Amino acid sequence: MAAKSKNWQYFLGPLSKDNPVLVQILGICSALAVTAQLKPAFVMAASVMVVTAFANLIMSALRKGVPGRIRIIVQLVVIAFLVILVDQVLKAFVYDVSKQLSVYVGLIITNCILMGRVEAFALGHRPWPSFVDGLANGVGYGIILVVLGFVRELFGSGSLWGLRVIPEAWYVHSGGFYANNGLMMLPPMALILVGLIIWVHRGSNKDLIEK
Amino acid sequence: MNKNSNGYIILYSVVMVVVVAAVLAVAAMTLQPIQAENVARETQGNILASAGLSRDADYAKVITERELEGGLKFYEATVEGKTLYIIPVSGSGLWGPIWGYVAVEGDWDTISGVVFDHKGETPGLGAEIVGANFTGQFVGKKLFEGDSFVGISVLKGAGASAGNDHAVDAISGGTITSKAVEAMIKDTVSEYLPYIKEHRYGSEE
Repeated sequence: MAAKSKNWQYFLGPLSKDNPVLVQILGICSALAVTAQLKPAFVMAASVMVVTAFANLIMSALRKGVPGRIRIIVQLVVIAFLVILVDQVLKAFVYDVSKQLSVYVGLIITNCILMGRVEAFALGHRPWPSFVDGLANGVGYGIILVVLGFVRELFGSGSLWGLRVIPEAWYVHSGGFYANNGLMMLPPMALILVGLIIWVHRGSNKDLIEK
Repeated sequence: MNKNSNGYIILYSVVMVVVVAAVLAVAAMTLQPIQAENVARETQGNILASAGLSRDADYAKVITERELEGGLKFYEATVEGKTLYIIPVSGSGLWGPIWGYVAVEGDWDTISGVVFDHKGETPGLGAEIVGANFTGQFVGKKLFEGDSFVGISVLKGAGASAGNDHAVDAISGGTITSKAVEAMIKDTVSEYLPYIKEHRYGSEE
């Protein structure tokens, strides 16, 4: 039971107190780039989750045999391998979204969360806890992406998942009072939103505030 | 075994790379037919959509592919008894390639529909060139002023193109992509001009 609750902690940590985006400030770049709409944000989140979980799992399984001197190279090969696999699968099964994500799927390779978790966790832990840690970090990252995607698409395009939410009749061009916030569609607004989320998050978790 | 000896490291790297390459090669080959089909279906869907048809219409039945001397391609569609010519256009946007299909009526002049697509324009700004708000403006516009080719200009400001047969409104925040669309149509259609000029008035054969 003790081991189980420890895994549970590994899983819960990255969701809030140790969130890769909010606390470790990792993966910001892609969080700004792919969150203009909900659907690509969601697919990106799912892709990162798969890659972090399996990169951790594979590296943890290999950890005893990996030569220390080429450790980083091995990590990169494993991560790149998984990312290419995910990219190919996306191209085959969700072609339209993979087009929207374009280079950002490939750039998962450079996402700091991956190397960070592999180096800091997977090399020192057994495969199952490593898998949980990787998955949880992916989920922690994914939550932020989906929240950003939700807010930005709702206020920037008036739709969610590509479906219209704010009625056409409300818009100024059809005689209404409403206009989309164009700033929402631009990456700087995503950074501002991330800042606001961090603010609220630290406000409610006083122990995270640096002295 | 000494994990830091050169022999071990070299062996480890070789095995790792061969295994990874083998798995990726198998995955790529397995998924390749599905991916190719996605690309082909999208291209055909775009051509059909530019002719004002459903993306799922029977491509082989409606569209005839034609090739000019020199390798230029265009497509001929018969929609409700009318012949449409569809010119594939391509150019470069802000972040990457943009392309599309311009369907003109039998006079090679009046646009009956357009479809645009892009590799990586800014979502919500430049990427809006694919949206009906933008493409819808092209319907009924004319490529020629009398006998001379003018193309379609993209003008700044809502309503700036009202009453103008050779212009549409640009997308605010997407100026570079909008201008790229203008250049793309001018450049690509120019290549077809010798053929178009020959056939413009004799197309009712």
